[in-house]
Amino acid sequence: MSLGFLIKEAFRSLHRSKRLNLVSLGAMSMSLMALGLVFVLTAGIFNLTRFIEEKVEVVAFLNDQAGAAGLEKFLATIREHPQVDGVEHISKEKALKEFSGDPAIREFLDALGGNPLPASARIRLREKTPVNVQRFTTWLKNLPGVEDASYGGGDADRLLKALQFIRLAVLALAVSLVMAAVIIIANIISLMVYARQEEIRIMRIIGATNWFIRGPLLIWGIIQGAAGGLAAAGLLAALWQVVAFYSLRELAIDLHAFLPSGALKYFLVGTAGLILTGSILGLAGSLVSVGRELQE
Amino acid sequence: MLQFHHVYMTYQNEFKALRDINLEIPRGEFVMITGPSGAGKSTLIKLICREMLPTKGQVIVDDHNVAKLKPRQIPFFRRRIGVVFQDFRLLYDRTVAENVALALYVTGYAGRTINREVNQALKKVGLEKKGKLKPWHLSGGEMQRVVLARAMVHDPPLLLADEPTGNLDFATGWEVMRLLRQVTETGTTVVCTTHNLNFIQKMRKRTLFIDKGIIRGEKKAGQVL
Repeated sequence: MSLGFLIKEAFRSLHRSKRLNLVSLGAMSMSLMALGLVFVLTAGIFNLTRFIEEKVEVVAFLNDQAGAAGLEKFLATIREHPQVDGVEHISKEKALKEFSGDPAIREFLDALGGNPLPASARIRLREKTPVNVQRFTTWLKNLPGVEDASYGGGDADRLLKALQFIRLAVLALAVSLVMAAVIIIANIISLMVYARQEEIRIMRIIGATNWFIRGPLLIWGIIQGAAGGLAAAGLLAALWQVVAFYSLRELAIDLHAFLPSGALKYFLVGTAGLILTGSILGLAGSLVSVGRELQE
Repeated sequence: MLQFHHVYMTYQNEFKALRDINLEIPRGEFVMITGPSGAGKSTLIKLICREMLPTKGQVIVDDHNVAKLKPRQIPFFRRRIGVVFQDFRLLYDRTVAENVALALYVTGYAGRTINREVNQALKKVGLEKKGKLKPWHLSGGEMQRVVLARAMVHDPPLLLADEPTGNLDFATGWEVMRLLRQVTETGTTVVCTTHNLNFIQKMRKRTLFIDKGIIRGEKKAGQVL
């Protein structure tokens, strides 16, 4: 059986059922576009998480009654902790100096009189995963001489959770669309098989094997999927450019910063991934249908 | 080459198409089968190429009991049979040459050989200059000659022609019959059904008369009706 002949037959099918091909191409590209969006969001969330994690530091507010000896003991305990990468001690005076830079806060502090700001320690951790940071903060709060401790990650956590939720929602949408695309491809092949009943009968009579008849339909599915993947990549790139442009203009947020470095390489890998995924989905749809329709 | 042993064929609607058919056709013989419409001629052809299985009895083709062929063996069995239909059954979105070549692609011939074999087959049926045309540009007789070229291009040992002249006038039909007769000269066995007694008279080949699924009589080769 010649592969060239099967490919030629597949293209003949593409040429013959233009409208059906357009429907399946549209369905495939839309579903793959949603799938691509999931990948973009995943990459964005991954980078954003790393960005936020890089900025995370735990601050321990120290009790005024601890005294110099207590402070030294506290700092020594912190430095010995295996998770600690570095500690910076901020005295009450230094804190006052830092905050006084802002006129509104200085006015407020002047109104209070004296120095109400506590001494603190800014601690950088080796592993900045949310679980690790939370666990360390809890441990820190229970140390003697510590008034309170926080890592200021509440807002970041909420943002990440919201993005994770959006990603899951888009993933669910993508999975639904992918399933719909596979079903559409399977049904279009059923229609094509039905329209080609006579041709298939002739092929059987002259001795064509099942795979000789199935081959062009399977290749058709792969071509449809690959073309859908390519179209999805193009649409996604266009959509990304539009959203990134308006995001920069209206919100002053550069979305490109959330993509991994080397945007062209990322786009090419993404395009290849979508084409491959599309081909596999197209083949799956074709296999489902030819298996059902072409039993002798 | 071809044997029928007590073959019965009853369709799902209880119509008895063939009843106790016993038949033997040696290799290289040209046999005509005639009878009125619904006599069972086409059923007989369908049983030979394993489009259907007999309800009872055995159909032996080239020492193979067709009922015992495994599904994966059927395509390879059919490649040893050429079939000509009354209604041509050509693929109208392909050229004449592509229609003929299909039989060779199916059989696994290489591209270069296919072109040569297709040209030879079209030359044999007198259509060597019409290979690039689509079938609808041809007359009925020419279409039937394309079908004949497709059936013969891979030199099968058995050729089945089911009413090959049914849609043709006498002169055109006779041209097709003449080509079929040439086929036997290369040792191919031909089974041809027709309800046209003029062809039977003129061909002077062995003829089986079938009616209501029963072989009612036989005319030997060379005998006049």
